[in-house]
Amino acid sequence: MKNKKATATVKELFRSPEVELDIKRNRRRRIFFLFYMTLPGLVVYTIFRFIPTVLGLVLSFFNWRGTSLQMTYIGFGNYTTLLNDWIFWRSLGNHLYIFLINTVVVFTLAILLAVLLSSKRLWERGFYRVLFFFPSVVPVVIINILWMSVLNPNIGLLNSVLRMIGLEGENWLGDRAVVKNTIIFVMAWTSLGFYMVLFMAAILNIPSSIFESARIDGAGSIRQTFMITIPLIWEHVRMSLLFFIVTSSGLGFNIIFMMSKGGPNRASEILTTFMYGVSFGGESRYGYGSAIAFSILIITSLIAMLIMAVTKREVYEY
Amino acid sequence: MRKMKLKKRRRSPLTLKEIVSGVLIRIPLWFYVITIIIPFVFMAMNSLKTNQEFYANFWGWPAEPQWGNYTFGLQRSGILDMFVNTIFVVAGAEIVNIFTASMLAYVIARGKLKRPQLLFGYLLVGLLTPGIICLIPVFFVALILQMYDTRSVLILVYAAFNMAFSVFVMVAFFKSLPTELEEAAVIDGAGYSQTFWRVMFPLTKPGIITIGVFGFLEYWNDYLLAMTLISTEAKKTVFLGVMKMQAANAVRTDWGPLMAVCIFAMAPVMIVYAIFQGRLTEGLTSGAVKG
Repeated sequence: MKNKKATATVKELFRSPEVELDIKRNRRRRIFFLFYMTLPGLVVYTIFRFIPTVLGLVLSFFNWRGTSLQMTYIGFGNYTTLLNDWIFWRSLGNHLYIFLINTVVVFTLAILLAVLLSSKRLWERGFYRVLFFFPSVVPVVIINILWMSVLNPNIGLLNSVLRMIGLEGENWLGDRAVVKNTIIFVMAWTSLGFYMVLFMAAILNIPSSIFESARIDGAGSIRQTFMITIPLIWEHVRMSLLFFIVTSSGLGFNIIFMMSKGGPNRASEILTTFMYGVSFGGESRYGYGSAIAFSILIITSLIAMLIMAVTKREVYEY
Repeated sequence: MRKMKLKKRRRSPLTLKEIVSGVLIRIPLWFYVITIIIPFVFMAMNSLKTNQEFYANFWGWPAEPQWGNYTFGLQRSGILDMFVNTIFVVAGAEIVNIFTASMLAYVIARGKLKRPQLLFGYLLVGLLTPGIICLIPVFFVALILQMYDTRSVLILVYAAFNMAFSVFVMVAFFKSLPTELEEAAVIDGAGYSQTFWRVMFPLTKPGIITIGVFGFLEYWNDYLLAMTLISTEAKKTVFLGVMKMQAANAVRTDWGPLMAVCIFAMAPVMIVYAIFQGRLTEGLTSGAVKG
């Protein structure tokens, strides 16, 4: 009661016309400030990132060929074509195969190597951290040229080594049976170090007193790894998984598009390369490409939800 | 008894068990180290070989280093012009992205908005959807705005694709600054704009460097957006040139100059990584640890 009265009197006290004007002016200044601060960023983001995300769905209902902007509405026409296209089903299968296996490989290896990296006796840890992070900053074009020269069936480094120890080399990028695994290897090679460094930092952040008390309780290092280290960094792992699933579809495109071009006979075609081939690869079927793009969004979200559900564990605080 | 044992252990630097476990730990690590180093060593070596030597002696050191590969590769392919284009585009995207993102982030972090989480959620769309699904719509937008095949559209698209990430990093930085700074500025008579540009913006230098370095790597290494949005030869970026050389390689092989051009195109990334790698890994990991 008393307070209310007091504020009322204060308000009355200050309600001179000059103060009113000042408050108004200040409010106008603030609104102007907020506008000019947010507008440039929001305009750029909205036009070139947000609208395109939504527009993709709209475009998928149109028949749009060629760079002239003429298009006709065909409803779900693109989607029925898509469902009857054998290339779609093959690339969907390859997509799931490559991304699921790649995710499992990258995260298993990254966690295990991060555990090794955070071992106390490793005095050259800084060297590994610098080097292992490096592949994730190398331009993808360079990665492709590097690995294409290493995997070249005739003069490539890998086959030369295999021949030296008396093994028959493979046509790593030209053989339908191995091309997908080659792609997975290159993708894993590229992104492994990044996540390893991330998890290493998370492990080193765990208070050492926890490990000490575990040692006193008689837990060996393997037991400590599986009972303490991994459960404690699990939330970081899951967040990184989400990030990985979103970003790796771009990486997968870059590597397949340059190294195998989806071949041989679409054996390594994934949805993203299929989309690019249909729209920018000469056919100019942009509406159809948008339908494929939308299916990529659906598939990626499904993979993300599946992996998030499978990896759900109790969260431990420390 | 126990104390003595501990002391004894500490004095002898390495037991057999420790040596064995040290070696065992390093085997998988060194396997990865080798797969990283060897390809780059071979790239550097082969950039100095003639074509005949490349096939005859793929393994060895170049008998006579062909430094001419570098000048030849750079002159013939027009890579130098593309290099300049890339610098222009990357610099433009950096400026647009850094300024717009930090302005936006300041409003989200300190603007006293009623619902900053709405803006946050709006930006989250750009972080949680793969950028590649926007490829055709971005091409469409560029056509509509009549900006297809210009370098400025590339600048804006890069800045927009990186916007969400940059804003999130900058919001965290602005939130970590004490509010007393702003209050002091206001008491000294600074308006909203002055408070931001004179006090807060300069203080977020570490954040700006972080988003600048991540942005640089993103823009410089990109070829997909450039390939989609640029068609004129004179406006292409450097990796489009490298890809063209590589495609020509299928017809008439010229490995030495190709490898030389690769190293040339990769050099800026290596320099930036060498300077900022500590900030890159630490910025990333501290963010990860904070959650």
